[in-house]
Amino acid sequence: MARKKGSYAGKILRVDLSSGRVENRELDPSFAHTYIGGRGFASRTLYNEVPPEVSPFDPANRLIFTPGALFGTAVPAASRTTATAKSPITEMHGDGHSSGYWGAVLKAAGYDMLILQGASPKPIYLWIDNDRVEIRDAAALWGKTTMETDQALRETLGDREIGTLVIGPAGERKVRLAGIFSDGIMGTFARTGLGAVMGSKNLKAVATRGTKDVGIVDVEAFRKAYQDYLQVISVDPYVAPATKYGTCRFMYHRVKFGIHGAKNWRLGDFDWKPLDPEVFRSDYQIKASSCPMCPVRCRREYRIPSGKYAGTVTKLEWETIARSMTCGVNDPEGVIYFSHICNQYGLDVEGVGDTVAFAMECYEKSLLTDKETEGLPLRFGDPEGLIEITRRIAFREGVGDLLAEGSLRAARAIGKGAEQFAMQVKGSEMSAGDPRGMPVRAVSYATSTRGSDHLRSNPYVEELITPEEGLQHFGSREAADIFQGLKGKGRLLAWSENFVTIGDLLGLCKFAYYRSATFDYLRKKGVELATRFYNACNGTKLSEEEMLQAGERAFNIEKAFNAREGAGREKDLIPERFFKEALAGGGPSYGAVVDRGKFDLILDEYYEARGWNERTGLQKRKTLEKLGLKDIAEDLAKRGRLG
Amino acid sequence: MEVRLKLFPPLSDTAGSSELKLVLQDRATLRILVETLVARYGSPMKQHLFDTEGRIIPSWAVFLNQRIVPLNQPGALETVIHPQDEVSFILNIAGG
Repeated sequence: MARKKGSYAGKILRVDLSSGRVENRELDPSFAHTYIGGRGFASRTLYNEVPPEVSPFDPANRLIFTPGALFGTAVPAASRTTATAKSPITEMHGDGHSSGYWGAVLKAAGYDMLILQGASPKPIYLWIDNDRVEIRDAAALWGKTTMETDQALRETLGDREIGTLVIGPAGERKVRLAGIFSDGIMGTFARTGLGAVMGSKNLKAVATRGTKDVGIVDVEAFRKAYQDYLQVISVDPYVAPATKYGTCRFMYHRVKFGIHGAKNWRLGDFDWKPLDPEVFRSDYQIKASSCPMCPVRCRREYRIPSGKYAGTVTKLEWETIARSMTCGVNDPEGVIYFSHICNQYGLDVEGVGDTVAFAMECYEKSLLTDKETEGLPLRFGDPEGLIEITRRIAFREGVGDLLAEGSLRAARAIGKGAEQFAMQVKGSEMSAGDPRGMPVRAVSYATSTRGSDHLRSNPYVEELITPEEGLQHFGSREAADIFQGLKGKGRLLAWSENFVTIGDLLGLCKFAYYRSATFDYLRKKGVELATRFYNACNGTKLSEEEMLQAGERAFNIEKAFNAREGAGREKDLIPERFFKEALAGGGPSYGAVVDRGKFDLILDEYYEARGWNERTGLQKRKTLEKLGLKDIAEDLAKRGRLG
Repeated sequence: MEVRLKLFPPLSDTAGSSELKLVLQDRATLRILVETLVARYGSPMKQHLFDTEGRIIPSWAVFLNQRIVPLNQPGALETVIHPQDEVSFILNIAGG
């Protein structure tokens, strides 16, 4: 792109780690405005460059980093970057999203996308210093934890202000549950095993320095949008608990609905009081902060003051607490330490937590014994067992080597029916809360393009719309009925997937833009203001409908990638346990199951709303062509993967 | 009659307590309970419970003992409260 003003940096950087070749090319404006940025840039590039014959650890797999289109500007809570590759855990489209400064620094260095390909024969790190790009030896970094690596890079390069991406020992060992960490542990590209892809390329880190600016074309329009954003969050009751407790606040929602999914997704209720958000706030919190440019301030750091883990300081998010409960653990210090070692070894807490819960159930049922665990008891509720097995996973020691493959692959290796205890979708472990009793949430886990995921959509829309809004926007008043409603749910899900994808195109935080207490606030932030910010920054006139369509386009590209890999309707499924086993342990959702008939009806309506074939789950040519993806339709047609 | 009230953030912060006891007229409804809260705690409470158009925020879920009454459903505010009921307010948005 010729102009420098606007939210785009203007260039794409490609580095071949096998040959050392560095390519630097201009960002095509039509590509930018079609795919917007973040997940849009990356999904299109991955589809173009990684065909089905390329396996996740093949050097030909790409590892793509794309800051959101608004990251680096002054847009509030625009602080997210996407990492994308063919996933070693799902063997489909994989991506993770992280806060941190690195994405803004990459743009300040002049790049909107970093594409890595090939693999180095020895450990290396990449040093991007504005226009200068070097591949450097990483022998001295190999083996270090994430924080150690981050610190060493800042010291070696003599600049505390650089941005960094690093992997820990888990990524080095290609643990399929490994993540990539940004700026120490400020942010994590946690899901889909991308740390293992980085490890497979022998790439320990990417360090970046940037001194250029992105800008705002229409300052007055930007100022108005900023004021309107602040106005919405000042009246939205969703914000205050976030500012007070961070993401730990979600505990209260789980408690009242009884959807903990404790002990490998069997118990709806659980002795959660030791993990009350107030406990974390009063006994352990040492710092409340924010991601770049965010007024919500939901980041938290905790310190264990005494005892076995005394002095441990780490960040911790709700999902760590949730997955600790999946392992039956309710000791807050055990939870904080679990978070700490996942952060240091470079692991995805969700994938690890669920994989350990799977192993604990196998141990409970004698499918894994002390012989396999080398004497380590894997009992639900034991924080020391959780912590030790996590360490073994990170270093692939003993049974940790098996579990480092993730729950589904481990289950297949164990055999003897263990697969029924692997709680995963498309190979990726579960996240968030138990879907029993809430059918649209169950379907949303199934349709996610990266495996089980509560962030891929916003099915919670059903909880905040009125029946009238359900009728107006999704064709049925039933869309607003959480427990009994059916009609309109599929349309609601399809819309919400397109809606939250906008955030991943622009780099906007889900919590700051895509969760709210009313549908009006939600749409105001997530579509209207998101589009106004984009237009103000770039001098464009994109409509809200076009922005939503850009979200739909990116989602469809990921879907097409997965279809090309062989995935159809049969992969849009949740674990059998949710259909067959009633939620146990008491509580408000006691006895609930996911009704398979309702699940299928919502899925049918979802496919129809998406313009996909209801029987096969595959995309129709006209749907892809409507989104400007004719070439993808042609590719899928050649392979017999059109619906 | 007396009802026990459990409040979660941000209502608990506004009320200064997560547990309250309120005396309401017999056969009071959730609407009367909400109005009583707003009358007692003023505009901060109103801002949490009503949107800028003056409509009840639909994503508040009220639990009567263990039974959920989503406020986004028609007639939810006319639900009758009984003596010794425990009424909880929780913002019905998971999100994480």
